[in-house]
Amino acid sequence: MEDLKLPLPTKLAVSVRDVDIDFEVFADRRAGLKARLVDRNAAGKSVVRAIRGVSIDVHEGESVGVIGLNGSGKSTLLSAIAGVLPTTKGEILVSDEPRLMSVGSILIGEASGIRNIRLGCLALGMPKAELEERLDELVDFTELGDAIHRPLNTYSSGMRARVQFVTATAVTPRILLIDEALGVGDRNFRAKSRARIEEIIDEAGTLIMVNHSLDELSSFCSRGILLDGGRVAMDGPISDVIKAYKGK
Amino acid sequence: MTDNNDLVSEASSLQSLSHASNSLRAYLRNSWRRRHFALAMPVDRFRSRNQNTILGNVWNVLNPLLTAGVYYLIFGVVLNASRGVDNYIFWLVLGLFVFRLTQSTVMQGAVSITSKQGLVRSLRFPRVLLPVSSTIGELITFAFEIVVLLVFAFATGEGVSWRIVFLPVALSLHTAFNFGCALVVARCNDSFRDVEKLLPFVFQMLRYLSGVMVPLALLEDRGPKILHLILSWNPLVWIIDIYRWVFLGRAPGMGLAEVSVTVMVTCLLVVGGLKFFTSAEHRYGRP
Repeated sequence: MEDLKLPLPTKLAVSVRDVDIDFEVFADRRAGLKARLVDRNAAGKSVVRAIRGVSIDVHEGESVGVIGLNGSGKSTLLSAIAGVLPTTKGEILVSDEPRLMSVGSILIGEASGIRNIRLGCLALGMPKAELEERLDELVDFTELGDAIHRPLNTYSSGMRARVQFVTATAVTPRILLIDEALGVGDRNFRAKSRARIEEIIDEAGTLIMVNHSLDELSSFCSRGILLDGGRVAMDGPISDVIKAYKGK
Repeated sequence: MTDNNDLVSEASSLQSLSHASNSLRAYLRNSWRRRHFALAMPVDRFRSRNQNTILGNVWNVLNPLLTAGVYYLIFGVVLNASRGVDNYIFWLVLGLFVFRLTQSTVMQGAVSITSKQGLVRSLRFPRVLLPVSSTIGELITFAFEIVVLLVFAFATGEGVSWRIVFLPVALSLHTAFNFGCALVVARCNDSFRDVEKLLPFVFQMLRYLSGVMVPLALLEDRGPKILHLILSWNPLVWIIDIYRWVFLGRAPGMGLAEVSVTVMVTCLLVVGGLKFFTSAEHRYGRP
């Protein structure tokens, strides 16, 4: 009955229920053609069990930091919550459409930054009239200047993060998922994005973030989840979880 | 334990993101809301595709014009071919452009998901917008080919008749047919990338079997019977025939029955294609 000591929970925002996520990956050396034709599943492929039996409930207004070693399943979990990666087993329920921003992602590399913002906002369902009205404001927020007209392929990771952040937060998301994307920004941008994220959390938004900077995590999040080998190894106050992570 | 019960009742306001739980109607409504996205992508690509050339957007017209020119030179001037068809060159170029629209729409549709992995893995939107947008992109290209066809019609003395009012009808039916095929191959190619390798050969064969180069009547007494059975039930032949009727007023072998069957096949392709495509919706973009 530990739960009773916590403040009374508000509504659930994200509910991950006994989720498994397996990947089929091609091994370095594939099996021969004959084997592949006979058994499509076995030949040359190996199954990576990225997430195993994970159950997490996150309430509205909560900010959760996900910690773990490289390859422990953090990004996979975020993608699955965002609904862009299917689960193999179990289900994920959300109260609203989550927005994902992740460090590696590029929408359309050949298109300019401004076109990516436009496409991203339209894909996420922002009405065209609203987009036209707010585009200047969104572009200003990135502070990219003329570079906003250059192809995204030519951007540094920090510049890409600016474009992504603007796209993901253009319509105030009720659930924001951030996968490492803030770490690549400069001081100036971090301060700006931090202010925006705090605004979102204040509006009863929910934040789940993956970040290798433990200082940043503990300043943003009140709750921590430690992933180890695709399983939840610990779930509790962020300071305790960080302590456990450091002790590993 | 009351706490627990509260959670359960709250949970009912939660939704699953897997599209399997949504109806096709809701899915289409959601797609319609984001239609500007499907439009913005091909328009962007169209604007930038000739950026690295000196002639720039002139290429949009020059490309089909040169294609028609090459065929005129080879078949008209060098070979002086007619294959028993009046105004053979126009007949040929028309069939070729119409066929190319199907070919490019289907082939671009096949890679519409697989070539946009960055988009699919970072944003959630109805995936059907991807084949929709690639289909629109090919229509933009075709618009310029229609301009060239009209120029050709006057240049060869054919002119344009009242039948041209049926061009939008022909184009709509044609596009729906292409889109239905694109939906099917998009899903197939997402599962088996071999599909996009195979498609060029399928179309190479179809090009010969759809009466693009040679009237099918000329093939009638050659080859095995089964081949003719397939040929006589190839909706692509009839679609090309509709265009030929619009531009040239001639379409032997095309009657009301053929048009009705084409319409039915197209409806079946679009509805079946949508079901087939969306039933794998949640799988697209997985590594």
